[in-house]
Amino acid sequence: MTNAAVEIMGVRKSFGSMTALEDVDLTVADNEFVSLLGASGCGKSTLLRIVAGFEYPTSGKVRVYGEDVTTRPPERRPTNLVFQRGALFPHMNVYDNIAYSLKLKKWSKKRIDDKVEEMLALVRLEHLGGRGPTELSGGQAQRVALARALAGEPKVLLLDEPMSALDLKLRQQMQLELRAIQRRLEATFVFVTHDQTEALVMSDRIAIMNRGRIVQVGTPQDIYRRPANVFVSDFIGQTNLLRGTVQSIQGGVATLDVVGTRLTVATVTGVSVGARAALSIRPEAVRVSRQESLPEGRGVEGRISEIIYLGSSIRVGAVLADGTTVWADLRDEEAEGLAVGDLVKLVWAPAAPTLLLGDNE
Amino acid sequence: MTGKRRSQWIAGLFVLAVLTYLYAPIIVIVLFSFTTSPRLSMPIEGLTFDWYRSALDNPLILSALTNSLVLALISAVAAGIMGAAFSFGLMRLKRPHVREALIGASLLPAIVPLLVIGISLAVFFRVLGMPQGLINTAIGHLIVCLPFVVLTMNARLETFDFSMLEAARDLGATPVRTFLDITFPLIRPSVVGAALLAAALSLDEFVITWFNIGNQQSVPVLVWGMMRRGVDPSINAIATLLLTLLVGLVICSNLLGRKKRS
Ligand SMILES: Nc1ncnc2c1ncn2[C@@H]1O[C@H](COP(=O)(O)OP(=O)(O)OP(=O)(O)O)[C@@H](O)[C@H]1O
Ligand SMILES: [Mg+2]
Repeated sequence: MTNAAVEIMGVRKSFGSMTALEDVDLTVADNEFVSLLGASGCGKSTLLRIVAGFEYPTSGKVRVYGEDVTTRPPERRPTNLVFQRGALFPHMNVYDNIAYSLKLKKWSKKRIDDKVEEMLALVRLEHLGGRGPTELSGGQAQRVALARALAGEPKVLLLDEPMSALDLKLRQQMQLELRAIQRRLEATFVFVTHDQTEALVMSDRIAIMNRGRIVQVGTPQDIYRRPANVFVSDFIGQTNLLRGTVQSIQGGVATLDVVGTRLTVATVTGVSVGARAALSIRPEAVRVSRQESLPEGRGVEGRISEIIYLGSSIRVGAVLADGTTVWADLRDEEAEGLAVGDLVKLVWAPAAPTLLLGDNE
Repeated sequence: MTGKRRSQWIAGLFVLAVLTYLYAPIIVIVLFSFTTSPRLSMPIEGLTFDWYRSALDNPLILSALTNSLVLALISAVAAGIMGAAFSFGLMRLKRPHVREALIGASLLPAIVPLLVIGISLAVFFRVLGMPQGLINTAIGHLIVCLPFVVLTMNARLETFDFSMLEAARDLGATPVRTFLDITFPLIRPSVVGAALLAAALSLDEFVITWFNIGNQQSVPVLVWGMMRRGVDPSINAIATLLLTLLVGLVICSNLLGRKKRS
């Protein structure tokens, strides 16, 4: 593979008896924006720090553009890291912070000036070169940190939750900016976050991590529409999980028995008759109908237990016979006339559900 | 109303009394170092610098002063470097309870009675066959100073963002460059402040010095000896000099400590 920017191969990392990463494989392509997404403590930062050179893997290899960097110290790696809290040098002004790596590279004064100016323009802080880090707002400080990391023209930029300390509005704005910068520079970014929206908004691909493993890698659409397992579908967005037993598999379609109702779904590899499995359906794919008959294989019966107004939509919850609540996100007019206690049919399009195996309950 | 006023008066008097109690001896000494009368008597007859002159003319006093300054310098430099390095090492420890325990252990000598430290050292050096003198004393002073340096440095490093050091490495700096460009400039005020404090502690250390310095003199030891032979007014001058030096050191130390926090 010639266009692989970062190759993480069979990386394991233990801290004493605690295993932070177990056998992680991941390839990031040139110019790609990949997010590592997972809950707190799942090993995202550890993986990123292994790529940056602050931790060495217990076993496994890391390559950057074909070069094995596994045992190289951070100062000799073609990667730069943007830290969670910026880590700007407080005794240097913005200019000197950004110029730091360039001075170490012994660039000429003129060339450094030009580069710093270019970086300041890139992060839209043209006039702040002379400020001290303590005189910056949180958003400005993170922009400077980004400029500082990009100034040395790293082959791969690593970002460890760089926006987690910012408020929502600013974060949303910076997400778009960061994405635009990455496209403009045609750079390779590896971005760590525990915020699924952030990952969905910015990434070409998302690697979902759970307990030291990567459980799925895919485009945002892939991951949202075709989660590989219960963990992913639960982690990304809201979902309804209907658990049941596989009754039959025929012509690429599996039939599940869920609370006495037969539901059909496109099968996936590894499913066998009699296995426990779950059907995942997004709330926005569920419709509420008051017709008499259930459409064959793609609807269940329930009693409305909750109606929640969400502003742009209305979320209706209905309880099935076994006590599971199924949620449907409806438009205003679709929800008209519904009331708590109504017996309704919850239906969906044939392609809406996904069959999930494994780690049930 | 009057009751309130009276209680304010009493409170004011009390504060004054405590302050007088704290400062009277010092003020008296400073005062008498400038008076012509060789006896500590009132009223003051005239003012003079003679006692300073005679103090600085006395070769014994001069050599004691030199010794004291040498000890202070050694304490400042050695305790500053060792304490800073030690605190830095502590901060890098991953396990918090191990770190707490080590900090506690390093502060303990501050509450061990000086007499115990002084005698133990004297016995210890005798066992090693090291003759009493400045070196032994300097080692003793280091023991007295280090806990305070560690305390000062810990306070600074609590708020030190270690990811800055990683950032520097990430941007291409070797460990040595990182120390020179980032670590040292950032901790320098605290280290210097702690070193000044160490110098101040060393300057007026008596007990350990007395047990270990042998037939040499430091200013406190010399003054103690002179006092036994009767009160020589040049003692007042020496004490005032020492006082000025100490107050200066402590003020500088505090100023440096304050600046880094802003
Ligand atoms: N230096 C270390 N020593 C011991 N354990 C560590 C060390 N660094 C990380 N860990 C452990 O490894 C696991 C993964 O940590 P990591 O920082 O990679 O998580 P994370 O996914 O980045 O979480 P967060 O979202 O909270 O930042 C955690 O359980 C953590 O306690
Ligand atoms: Mg982290």
